Amino acid sequence: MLDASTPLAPPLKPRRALDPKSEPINGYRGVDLGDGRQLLSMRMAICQALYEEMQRDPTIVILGEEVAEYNGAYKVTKGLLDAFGPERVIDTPITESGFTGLAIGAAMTGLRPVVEFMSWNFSFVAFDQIISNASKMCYMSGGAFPIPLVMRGPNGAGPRVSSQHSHAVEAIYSHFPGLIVVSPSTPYDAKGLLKTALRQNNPVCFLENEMLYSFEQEIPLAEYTIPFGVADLKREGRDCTIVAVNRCVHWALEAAEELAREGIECEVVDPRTVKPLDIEAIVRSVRKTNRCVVVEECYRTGGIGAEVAAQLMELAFDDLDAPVQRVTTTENPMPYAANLEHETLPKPHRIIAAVRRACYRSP
Amino acid sequence: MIHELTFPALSPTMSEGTLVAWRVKPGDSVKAGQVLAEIQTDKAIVEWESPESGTVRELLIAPNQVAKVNSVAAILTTQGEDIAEAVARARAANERLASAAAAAQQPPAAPPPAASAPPPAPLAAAPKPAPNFAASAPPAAPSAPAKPARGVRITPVAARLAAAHDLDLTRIRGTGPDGRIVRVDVERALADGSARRAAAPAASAPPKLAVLRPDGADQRVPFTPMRAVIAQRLAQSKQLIPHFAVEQIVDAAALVALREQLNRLEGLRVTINDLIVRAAALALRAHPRLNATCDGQSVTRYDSADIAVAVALPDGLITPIVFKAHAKSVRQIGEEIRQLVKKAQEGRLQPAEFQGGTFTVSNLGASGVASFSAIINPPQVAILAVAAIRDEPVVRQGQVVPGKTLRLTVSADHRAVDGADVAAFLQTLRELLENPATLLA
Repeated sequence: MLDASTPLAPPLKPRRALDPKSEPINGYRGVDLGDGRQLLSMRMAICQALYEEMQRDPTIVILGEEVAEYNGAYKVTKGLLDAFGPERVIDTPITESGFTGLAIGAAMTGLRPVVEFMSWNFSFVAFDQIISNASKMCYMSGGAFPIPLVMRGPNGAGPRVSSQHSHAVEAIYSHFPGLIVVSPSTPYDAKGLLKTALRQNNPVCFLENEMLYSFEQEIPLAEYTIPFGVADLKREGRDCTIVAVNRCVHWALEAAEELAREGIECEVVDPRTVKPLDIEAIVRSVRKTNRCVVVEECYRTGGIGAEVAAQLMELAFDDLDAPVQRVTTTENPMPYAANLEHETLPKPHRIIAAVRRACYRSP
Repeated sequence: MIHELTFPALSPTMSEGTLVAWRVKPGDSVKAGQVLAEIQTDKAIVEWESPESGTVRELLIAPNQVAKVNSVAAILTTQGEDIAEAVARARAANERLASAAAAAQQPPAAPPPAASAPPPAPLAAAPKPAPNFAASAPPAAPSAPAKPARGVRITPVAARLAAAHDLDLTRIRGTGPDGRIVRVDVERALADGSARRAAAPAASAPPKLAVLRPDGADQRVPFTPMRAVIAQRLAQSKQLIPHFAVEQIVDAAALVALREQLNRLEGLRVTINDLIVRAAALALRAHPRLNATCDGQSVTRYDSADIAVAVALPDGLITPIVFKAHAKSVRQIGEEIRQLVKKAQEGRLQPAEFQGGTFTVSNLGASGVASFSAIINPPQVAILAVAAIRDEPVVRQGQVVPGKTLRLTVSADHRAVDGADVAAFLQTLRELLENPATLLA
């Protein structure tokens, strides 16, 4: 639930873009716009959250491949080695299982580690550590060992990285109790949610997106955090609710613009955290629109859409005017070919078709 | 644990009942099996036993209130839980049940005129017949009357909106897939008023004939639960079963004499009806085609003559059963009938005492009627109507002399038995009653 203390999200479109000649496009310092706002990109917002929290809390350490000397494979940790030194920003060997286990042990003994996966696809190598240790340790130790661990990195399809490196893992990690799954779509949300993640004691899967790292937004200079389990209305509308997370929020907004031209006003709800899921916000929106389309980069079977559709059936059955539609990554290994990748992902043209179906319009 | 105890169906035909009295009050602790209340079903007053143990917290049905089966009647808790929410939910559910039942009593819409009957489906679209595995399958049962292909298709929110405005769904055109009614269709119907129900043709109001005098001298009396069951079952019997009636006249002089002897000399309280039930039982053993039930597909004939005896009640009747009447003496039969009548009049018959007879005897002799025919008590195939014994002239050895006659009329189900069967049965019955010593053997 939003309350008075939660700052309103800033507009998605900044008044101007960063100038790569004179202004940083990475690092943790945004461009001060002089009105209490700063302009920065998604990667800068994440870096800024890390920087601010590491200043606050000396137990925060960063581990991962290339996070220190190389400033991160996607430059998300740029400047942090210089600011905090090699004891707190640690390059690891290419051993996800090893350094994730190391981080879990560190979390058990008083540190607050941040693990960077170069890609969430590589988290599968550390799957046993994440599922069997990180998500269970607090429970199995009778509360003696909480695991204040943040695992972060890019999630979902990059441009043409093919079958093994295009997975979206929201649904997989949401399946297991004991993990918090955060999947932000904007710099503002990413910063506020990452700061929350670094101030609580549960293992968090923080899912970024390579294709959004350069997305720029004006956000407050002043400190803020965003609580878990609170959705954000990215667009208001009366005709159809679109629930979308991460990169799909932007595709949903694109589809909504197109649909508005034919008179269909979509409401775009961004849960921001997939677990806990703000189903109340979704139900509130569906009570208004009576229709729902869920858009995600996960697969269809057992995906976020399956969960949202089931909960809407349980909680808002009498409010539905059409079956809930799901737009997901199609159930095939991601093709390398750009045109096939385009058809596999839940891109705007597929969202538009689904909304028309939900509104009983011809496709 | 919160237990919501629902009003039980205590007989197969029961859809509602009157809660006569609670035997527990809030605060009492009850054990499973303990009697909670007395309930008047459509047939009798029955004790309702608690299915759960716990503390009685709330009684949701008032004494003498008519309640629908499955309404929440009482709430028990095991741990003293907060029941405010459960009570609110139960009251809402009970109201829904009551209003659903009221809605179901609306008369069905008139059938469409024959001209608008759907044309036969084209051959290509006809479903394939099911493979016939039996080489000599029995002929198919007569098909049920054609139903509409399917009900109205409507989305949940559209249904809710239509219900809130009491719209007639059959008059809303659905624009969704396969004619599904969606929200905009209902909104359109609301805007143009096209689906408003025609002013109710006073469905439940009395017909014009029954205009009541305003001074209260005329009265409209709603059916009691028992009256409603009688109405339903007997209407069904008369509409469904091809009745025919056969009458026989019995010379009852010997029967009357026997009864006098038994009561005067033996100090018994034998009635003519007891003797007739005994005679009917023996005649049924000789003619088992009448000691039967029929389901429209087959006839089931019974070895035992379990004779239902119609008992008049202040507003209705009930037919408790003398089981194995063929194996009981006149005296046993008489005692049993008197006990059953007493229980029936007190409303204390148990279902097992009035369900499952194989033949019925209905006797209006006490009212002095000359003759009558009765409606079959389904699924039985025959019923014997017994009139009064009257002083009438009879012909004996070519002479008209004063005598005593008794007219017996059997109504039978022509699907199951024929006139000759009934005639043969009545012949045996007459011989037994005219030679009543046989009834004492």
